[in-house]
Amino acid sequence: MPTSAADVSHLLRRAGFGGTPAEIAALTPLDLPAIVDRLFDFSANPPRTPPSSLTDPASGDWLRHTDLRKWWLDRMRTAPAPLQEKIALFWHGHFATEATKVEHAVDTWDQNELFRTEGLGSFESLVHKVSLQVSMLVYLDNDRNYRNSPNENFARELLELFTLGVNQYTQDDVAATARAWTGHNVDFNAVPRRAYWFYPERHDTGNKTFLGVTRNWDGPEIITRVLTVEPQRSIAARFIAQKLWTYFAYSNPDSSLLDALTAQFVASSLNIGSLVRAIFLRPEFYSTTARRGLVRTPVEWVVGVLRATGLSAEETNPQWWMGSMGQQLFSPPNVAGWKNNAYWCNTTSLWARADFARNITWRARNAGFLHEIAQRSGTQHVMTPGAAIDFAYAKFGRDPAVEPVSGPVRQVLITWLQTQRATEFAPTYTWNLWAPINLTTMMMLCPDIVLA
Amino acid sequence: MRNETLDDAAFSRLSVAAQLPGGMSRRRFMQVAGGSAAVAVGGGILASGLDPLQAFAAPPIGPKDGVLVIVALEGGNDGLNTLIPYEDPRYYQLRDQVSIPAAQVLPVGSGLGFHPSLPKLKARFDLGQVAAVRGVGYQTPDLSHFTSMGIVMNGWAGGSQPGGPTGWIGRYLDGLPNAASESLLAAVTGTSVPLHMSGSVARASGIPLSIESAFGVSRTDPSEARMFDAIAAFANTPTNLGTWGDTVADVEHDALDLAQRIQPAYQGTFPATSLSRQLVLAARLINTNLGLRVISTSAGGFDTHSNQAATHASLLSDLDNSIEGFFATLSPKLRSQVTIMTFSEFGRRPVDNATGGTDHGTAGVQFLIGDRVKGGLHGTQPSLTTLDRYGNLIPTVDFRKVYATVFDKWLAADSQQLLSFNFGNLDLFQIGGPGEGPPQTNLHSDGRPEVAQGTASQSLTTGHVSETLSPVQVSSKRRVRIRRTATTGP
Repeated sequence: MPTSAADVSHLLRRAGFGGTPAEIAALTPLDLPAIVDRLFDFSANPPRTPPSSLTDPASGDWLRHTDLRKWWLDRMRTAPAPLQEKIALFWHGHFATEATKVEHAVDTWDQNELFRTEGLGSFESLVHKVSLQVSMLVYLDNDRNYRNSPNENFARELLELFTLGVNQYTQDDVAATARAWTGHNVDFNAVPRRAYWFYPERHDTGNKTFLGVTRNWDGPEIITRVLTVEPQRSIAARFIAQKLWTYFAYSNPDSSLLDALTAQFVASSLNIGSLVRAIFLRPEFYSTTARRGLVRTPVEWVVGVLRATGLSAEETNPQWWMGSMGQQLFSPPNVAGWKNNAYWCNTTSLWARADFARNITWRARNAGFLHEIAQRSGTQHVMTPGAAIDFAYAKFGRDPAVEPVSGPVRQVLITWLQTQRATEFAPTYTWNLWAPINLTTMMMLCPDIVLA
Repeated sequence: MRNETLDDAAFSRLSVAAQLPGGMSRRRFMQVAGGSAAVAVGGGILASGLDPLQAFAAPPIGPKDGVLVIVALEGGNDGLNTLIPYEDPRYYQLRDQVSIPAAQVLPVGSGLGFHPSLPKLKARFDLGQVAAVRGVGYQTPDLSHFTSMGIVMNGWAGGSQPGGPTGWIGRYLDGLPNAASESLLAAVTGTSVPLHMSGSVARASGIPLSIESAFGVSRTDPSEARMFDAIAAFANTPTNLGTWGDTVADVEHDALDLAQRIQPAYQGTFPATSLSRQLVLAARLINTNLGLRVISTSAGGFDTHSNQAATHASLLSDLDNSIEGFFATLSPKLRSQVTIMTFSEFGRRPVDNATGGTDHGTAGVQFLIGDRVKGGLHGTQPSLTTLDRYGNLIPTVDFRKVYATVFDKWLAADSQQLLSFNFGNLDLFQIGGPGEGPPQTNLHSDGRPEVAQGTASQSLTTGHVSETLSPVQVSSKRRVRIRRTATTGP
């Protein structure tokens, strides 16, 4: 059974960064499960080569992180199967680490690659691996977690933010977890670079009571215990299902929906791909609530407008604005990562979006973007104001013929274009392109385009 | 099993901005509550210039409101070379390279004196307008910039916070009416909003340092002005895109509105340095009386591990001139309602290092400056003989006790709720300050229009006063964002 173009368009925006008309047209003849299967086929994605500065001894880590930010934005923009990047972005917010504390961009890169390659695999495996990477060990101070002075930073977040959620454990469990993770540190003298190292002499081999079981717990066993034994396994499954649903669809899903997703996630032994697939197949994912449920994050919005205009992050430097927008890659605000929706709805963030929009408008204009709407035959424009505005919507991935757009906002744009054209033609006609230039900026700020 | 997870809680709080009782959009609410004349329909709201009553949501500063201007000294300011114990021989023993000769120190009593680069602050001290709090720090100090700045900006005594740490001023903003909608209650000069200015709901607005970088400020080009008006007009009616579509349109309208409102603050010249520019901008923004209660500024470079003498002198000189520039710009009518407060993530180690500098330390000196502070030395000077095991000063004043005093005595807030602990107060403000009672000058005596006219303004003003007394109470009023509107048609 074919799938509606509106559903495909919505799915491609949420599972990636928006589909082109050609991509949408290619998928509509398929039924939904077949389309979702396609999203998980990453064979068309080109091999990944990190920016050259990453291994250039002459570069500093500030530059390397900057290059990595642009590199990732362009990867999101161009990957033929972008779900791989979309899920990596999710895990970056979930297992937040921050560039200035991690310091070495090569460690950031390792984590980023882990999210990309295993972000749709086993959740248990992902937690194990991310915990033992240098980026996480350094960011949450487990590199300084010693037998004689346990540091609870990682232990607390492992339980609270990474697996179970708040209030699903006691402070004693946190203390036991911290002790279990002592000695799992970093060898800062390792060659060619610092690396995870287990120091037996720094490890607390005494008995610890975790979730009521007293034994000589070792750090990684804590993860296995939480994610394979009930009731914690289901608690964690629900926590992750709720977070992923919120990321892809909308906040505060119904309890019954969460029950179903949690059950599927548990039945798959916490396979993330199974959960994400289930999310994309739920009818609620295509509801009005879902379609209107999310404001594009700055990353999604930047990638979206770059895709529309054909510009690259490499040439436009979005990282100059993205901190003010509220979402700089590799610089989450704190260990809890980024929030959503209202988090981006403030004047500072919108100013930054508008400044970036205005800046890239000039580059787009030089490439002739939207110049079609100014084409004329004699003194008459080829496109009516309505047709011109709809043309612009479609350029930004919101074709009104495919998905309804805001009627009142569309009318504001039409009225504006009529006035703008009248001003440009009268009283004495001079040729200029203010209409396509300003419409480029306006479309980027149009609520339909700012929504995910 | 609990259904509410961390993120549910965080998201529901953050969603307050866009939700109104009964699920109404804000525009619909306004149409119901304020009458159709309140809502600009058709023409752009900015097209005919700004109606002064069509204000951004923050109410103007009332006669009982204290305004706080924060100056962050980033990198760890050397307290011992800012307020110098020049009569303590131990100071010169510990610092054979970076000590300030006694003859150059500007004495303020008790064997202490200001760095010679602070002559204007010294003069102000002599007028009783500078409170110097000695020995400010916290227990079990962490010497990392990252961690220590996080602790100092957070100021929460109650353990880990669901949804991540919030800033001490951010929590105060959370409790003000209209906090959720970022109603220009607080600002940061610059574009990034640091932790201390972010609450769980409220966040300070970043005010750009130059007029060129704010979208919507310059309306000299008619085509561009027409574009701004059209974008603002997205908010004229419900978008039919649901809550978030409406919210996006509203915030874009507000950003353009705000751009016009801050525009006057950029008129005239600015001094050269970043901090002096920020403080002049801050003073002009306060003069404009947009309702800002807290403005945060910052100066970097205080991490003086090497060649401290010249660097620190230059930084303190900049601070000295910037503070003076602030008060020179601030309207005399508002002087009794504004206090400057400095802070830094830590002080520096008493003993100097091998490269003519000092390493990360602990306690430092904190200044509160203004007409209504209780001038003089406060707190206890830390000992230079009894140091901690790393050779650092042992703090004598918990930094949160300073915050508590600012909350209780200057911002009319409840420090115990905002810090989760009763730290008590220092005696830093004169009796009858904004936190306690009516000040000596009346803000409304300078010819500005009274705002408490018309029902919407009246209720806002009243609500403002009453709600600041219980800052963390989330009242239904706070969920409603009311654009101040004329009661008669435009």
